[in-house]
Parts: sequence; structure tokens; C-alpha cells
Amino acid sequence: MRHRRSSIVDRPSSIVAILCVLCVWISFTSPAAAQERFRFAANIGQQATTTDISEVQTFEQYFEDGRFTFERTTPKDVFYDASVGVRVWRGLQAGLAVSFFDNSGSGNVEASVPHPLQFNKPRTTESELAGITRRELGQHITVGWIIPAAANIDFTIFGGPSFFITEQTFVTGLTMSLDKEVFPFTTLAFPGASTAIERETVIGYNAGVDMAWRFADHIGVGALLRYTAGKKDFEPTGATVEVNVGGLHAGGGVRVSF
Amino acid sequence: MLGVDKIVPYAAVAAVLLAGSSRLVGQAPVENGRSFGIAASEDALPDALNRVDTMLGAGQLDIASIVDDKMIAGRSVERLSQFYEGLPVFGGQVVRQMDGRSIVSVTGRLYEGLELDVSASISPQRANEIAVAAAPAGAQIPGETTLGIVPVESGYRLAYRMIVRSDWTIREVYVDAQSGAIVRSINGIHSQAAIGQGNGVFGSLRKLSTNQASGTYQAVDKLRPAQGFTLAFPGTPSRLNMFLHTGVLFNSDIATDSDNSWSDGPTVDAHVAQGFVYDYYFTRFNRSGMDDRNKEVDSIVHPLARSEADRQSPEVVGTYINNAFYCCDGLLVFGDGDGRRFTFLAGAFDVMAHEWTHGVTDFTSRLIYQDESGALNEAFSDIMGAAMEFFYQPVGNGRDQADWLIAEEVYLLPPGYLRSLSNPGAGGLPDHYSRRRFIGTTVDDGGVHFNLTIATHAFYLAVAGGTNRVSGITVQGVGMANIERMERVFYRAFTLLLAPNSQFSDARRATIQAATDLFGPGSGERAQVELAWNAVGVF
Repeated sequence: MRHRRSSIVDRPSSIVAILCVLCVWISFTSPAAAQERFRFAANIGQQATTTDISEVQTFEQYFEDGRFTFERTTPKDVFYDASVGVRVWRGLQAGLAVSFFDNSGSGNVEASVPHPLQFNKPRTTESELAGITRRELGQHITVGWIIPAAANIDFTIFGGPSFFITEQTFVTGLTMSLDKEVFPFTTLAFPGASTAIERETVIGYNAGVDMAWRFADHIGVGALLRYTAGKKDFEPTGATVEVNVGGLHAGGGVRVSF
Repeated sequence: MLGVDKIVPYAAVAAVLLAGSSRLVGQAPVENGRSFGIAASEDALPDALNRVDTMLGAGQLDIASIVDDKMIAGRSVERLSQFYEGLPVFGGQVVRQMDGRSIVSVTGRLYEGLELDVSASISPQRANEIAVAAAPAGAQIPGETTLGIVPVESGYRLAYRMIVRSDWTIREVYVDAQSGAIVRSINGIHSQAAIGQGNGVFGSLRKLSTNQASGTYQAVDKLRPAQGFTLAFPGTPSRLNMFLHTGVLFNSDIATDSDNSWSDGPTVDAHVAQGFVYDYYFTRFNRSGMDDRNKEVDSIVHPLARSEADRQSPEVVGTYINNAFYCCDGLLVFGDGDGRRFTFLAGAFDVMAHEWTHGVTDFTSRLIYQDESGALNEAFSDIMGAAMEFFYQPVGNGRDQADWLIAEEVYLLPPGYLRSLSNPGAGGLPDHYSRRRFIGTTVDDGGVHFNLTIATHAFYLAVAGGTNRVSGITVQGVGMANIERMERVFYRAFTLLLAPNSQFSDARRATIQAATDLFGPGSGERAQVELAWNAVGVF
């Protein structure tokens, strides 16, 4: 299992703490909130954290067990987001946001493959595999509190459950065959791998702050800082692989309110 | 059935054994012709070169082969065969080690004092008839008959050489081209003496390289550059004798299995082990098969069923049941063992390595299978057999573990092995040159399975070290961790630098030369090789 470096944005508790401090500060320093009932937002930004997967599978080859490890770090990449919020009472807002993250790149496969003619003489081989995808369609239910901060500027502190329809490419096996073996069989060129995309719904949470600045009666721009996270065990061809989804969303876009 | 297939024992085998028994006292080396060794490097090289050049100029030597040296880049080895009046002098050969255009060493053995009439009084056809008449009924001569000079005890004879195949035997026969007498007959079956018997092959799980064809699996190795076949004979005398007569193998001989899950132990072990030996030679010495040209290798198991042990003569049992041998042209045969002295010989990896190495010798130095050169032939096979165990197996005394014993897994009688490299004396075999026996006799082709331990013990001392019982000389050895170095030294000497009729003293010089080539004149390897030969009394 590979360990990634820990940073403040990786820790949900840190994010929540920061948001709470910000909320308290704003509530003491800001005038009353705007009076609109509905607010729509569209954002583009970066999913600013990375997530790792590590898949370990065994397989039978030449009457022995082989093993491969597939690892990929899903990098920071663009996300898209759209949301709607309804003011239900004073500054209290209920909302629904939909985010979409799609990244495709390469992962690393390292395999230990049994010798074709001798027991206990495995060969190691590795390769980068292209076309590894991660897609996350996040649905975030939020409850927030709108805090006016200045003329035409407000902040919304929110949080709630998230549901991620997640697709991830996994390696399902090595495409071994005898014609890929080369005498004296002490080394093995990577024989190729078969892959499959698994889809699961992952349940998680979200928390964040949205800033809106109205430069016209109903239109403005805003910034979004949201942390989302979810975790589920996927089971590609029998193996169990823990998949973490979401991350820190940092972006901005338009705001429309009525 | 027995009535039809009843074997007529080859009377000559018994005759040879009986004749040999009366000459057991003849332990002194017998000089055939008047040979002189050429093993020159450094100071002696100019004289040897002059002699070789003179003979080349006079047409007394001619290049027989040139092979690249795979152990030292840029070098090659030329084999110069000796001729007299345009006819080959059988066994006379010089090996010239070249480094580009420079000559590094000259080894080998030539014959001098050749003065004889080279006019044949009988035709090759008549010589063939004589040879066939002396063999059991149905004998055949499948190849060419060559006229040349053969060294004999009393000097030289003009003789025809031919290979005679017959029931139970394959022999290299020399017929005097003037008198028609058979002057020499050499066993063409390079056997490991008196091996054989057991209760199957020991249950170890192996992987086989097989070939799927027509809905079944064949014991055909097509994964390696050289194809390897394992042939399961039905064990009947008729099939074996048909093969011995004709040399013909049929597709139906190939061992098969319906589901690729093999149950016949000898087939499994023979097939796997012959592949491992190929791999060893390739990995260690960059050698591509027996002939270094990826020659196909065929292993025969069950040549004669164990049940025949009580029906056949001791000679037949000793050759085809309690024995394994390299026959010729890449063919290996592994007996079933009679279950009392031996079990299935294919079950011993060192036996496979031993026989396979006879094939390597057959395609390199072609050490004549008689007297000292024959013992060296056998010695090289034992040395490689032991070395391969250490290459593949963990050190130990159990099954599938490496040791200095030969055939310990299949030899059922005390002391539980056939030969020991570390302590030959424990098995009644010589560990010093002064204790050599049978040379010049017909017993065991001149003691080829007896005197070999003098050389194998030298290899052991050069590797593991120790004190020779007879000479009292202690050798430090290069250590087991460095066994590969000595393997390379002996492989180089035995495949590149020895000539067909090399003697023990030639082997000493060749291995010292090989150590010099590989590790330098002041190297510890050279010193240990020299000391090891001193310890066993070979100078």
C-alpha cells in the first residue's frame, strides 16, 4: 500500500474547523443577508487533491500463483459544478449540487509471474498502463447558512451528505500466453493487461463555503471552496480495492438569484 | 511375446568381459602408437608452433573445425586433425587457441614415427562385411566407412573405421585394411556403469514443456531453442532392437498424455531434466545445446521393461535396465532399473546431466571412449553432473539436494550412490593416479568408469579443498561460493582444449591453461587447479 503525503486539505476535520471559524467571524462582522429566495450557481475549478488506488490481485499461471499490483494516483484536474439553493428561513438555505470530475491517464502495473518451467522462480515485470479513467458524478445535498458580509457580498456555509456515482478502471488480469515467453525465461517483458471499468455509488459528505458577489440585481459571480469525501470497497474480479472519492473543490463561476 | 521377442544376448559383450578379466593386472598405461602431447603456452609455445607449422606445411595437419570462444571474446579454437599420406590419423589432433591472429596456446596429442604402407588390400565393402560378420546377426553399418591410420599397441595399422549397429550394441569398429582383422572395437554407448532400478520417480512436482497435437499432449519441448523429445518405449525387446538396428524413431514413440497432467515419473523427470541441462549450459557457458547449434535432443525412457530383468542376460540388464547412456547423435537412454540395484534412472538429475554431457563431449573434444581418454570423458560428465546439482538445488543430503555424489537418488545398494567426487575411495574407486586400473584392458573399456574419479576428485579439491588420502597434499580450493569459476575452467579445458586421445596429463595441462586464460597466470584459480592435480598425482 502506498502512502501519500498528508496535507491540511486532505483532512476533513481541518476543513470543518476552518469553516466554523470563518462562519463565526462573518456572523459577527456582516450585516443582514440578501433577500432572494432561489440561488443558482455554476462553477468550474480544480479538484485540488489527489487520490490513490492500489489493487493487488493473485492469479494462477503455470500451476503457480502469480501476483500483480496496480497503482494509480488520480491527479488534480478540472471539475464542473452546478447547484441550486432555496432559502427556507432567514439565512437558512437548503440546496442540491451536482459535480462532475473526469480524469484519464496512466497507472503502473507491477507483476510477479511464475516461471513457465520451474517452480519458485518468479519473474517481475512492470509497465505503465494508459487509458485509466476515474469519473465522479457527485450529488451533494446541502444545508447552509447565508451570511451577508458586505454590500452585495455574502458567504454561505454549508454541509451535508454526498453521493458519488463513481467509475474506476481496474486491471482484471495479465494477458499471458506462452508465445510471449522468451528463452531462457529468466526475464519477462510485460505481456499486457486486461482492464475493466467498475461503477459503484459511494456515499460520503460535503462541507464548504460559497462566496457570492452580485454586481447586478440577480446576477453575480462567486467562489466555491468545498471538501467532499467518500470511500467504498470495489471488487473488480474478486479483489477488494478501497476507493476514495472526492477531494477539495476550489473553483468559481456565476451566481443567479431570484 | 517372449517367444518372438526373445533376445539373443550379444556374445561379444560377454567375450569382452571375459577377456578383460584375465588382464586385470595390466594397470600400466598402454601406449597406442607413439604419441606425444602438445600442451604449450608461454615459454614452450614457439617450439610447439614450429612443429605445428612444419606439419601444416607438409600436409600432416589440416583444419577440421574452427569455433568461436564464447567464454573469452575475440578468441577462437581451431582443431587441426593429423594426416599421414593424405589419410586421417584417428585420434591425432591439435587444438590451437587463437586470439585474433595471435596463438595463445596449443594443446592436443599427435602421433610420430608413422611409417607404413597406405595401400589397402581389401575394399571398404569387404571391411564392412568383416565387421558385420563379427557382430550379432542383423548388424548394419548405417554411415560411411573411412580409411585411415589407427594407433595400436604395436604401432600403427591402416584400417577402415565404421559404426556397427546390432542387437544391444553400437560399436565403433576398426578393420585392418590389409589383413582384414578387427584391430579395435570401441563401445559406442557411453554408459554410466551399472545404473538402474527403483520404484518410480519420487513424486516431486515438475513442470514440463509439452506440445499439444491432435487432441493430445506430447513430451516435446518447443519452448527452448533446441527441441527436446522424450520417447516412451513400450519396454519390449523387439522395439528396442529395431531401434538399435535402424536408429529409427517413430512419432508413436513420443510420450503422450491426454490431459497434460503426466503420471509417468521417468517421462516427467527425463523431459524436465533434459531441459534444465540445456538451460544450464546456456546460462553458464552461453552454449546452445549439445552441438552448440541447438541440436535436437531425444531421451528414451522404458527402453526395456523392468519385468525383462529376470528374462534377459546380465549384460542386457546392465545396459538397458540398470543403466543410462548417451548413445549418439543427441540420443539419451534411461533404463527402468531392476528395482533391486537401481530404480528408474531418469529420476536422478545428475544422471541426466552426466549423459547429456557425453553429448557435449561428443561434439567437442570427442574424447575416445577407452582407457585414459575414456575416463576423462566420463569424468567430465560426472563433474558437470555434480556442478548442475549445485546450480539448481540447495546443498544437502536429501532428495533434490545438491551433493558430491553421483546417482545417489537411484542407486539402491550400499553405499547408496554410484560414485563420489569428494571421497572416491569410500566407493572403492581411485582418488590418486597411482591407483588407476584396467587401462589397456578390455574391462570397462579400459576402466573408463573406474579411473574417472582421479579427475573428478581433482575437480572437487580445486573447488571445495581438502587433503588427498594418498599424497597427503592439501588443497585449499576456491570455495563453494566460487564453484562457477572451476566449472568454467573445466568446461573450457574439456570442450575446447582437449583432443580425442588426451591423457590425464593432458587434462592437467588443459585445465591449467584454461585457468590461465580465464583468470590470469598468477590467479588463485590456476594455483588451485595445479595443486589439485598434484594432489591426485597427475603431472
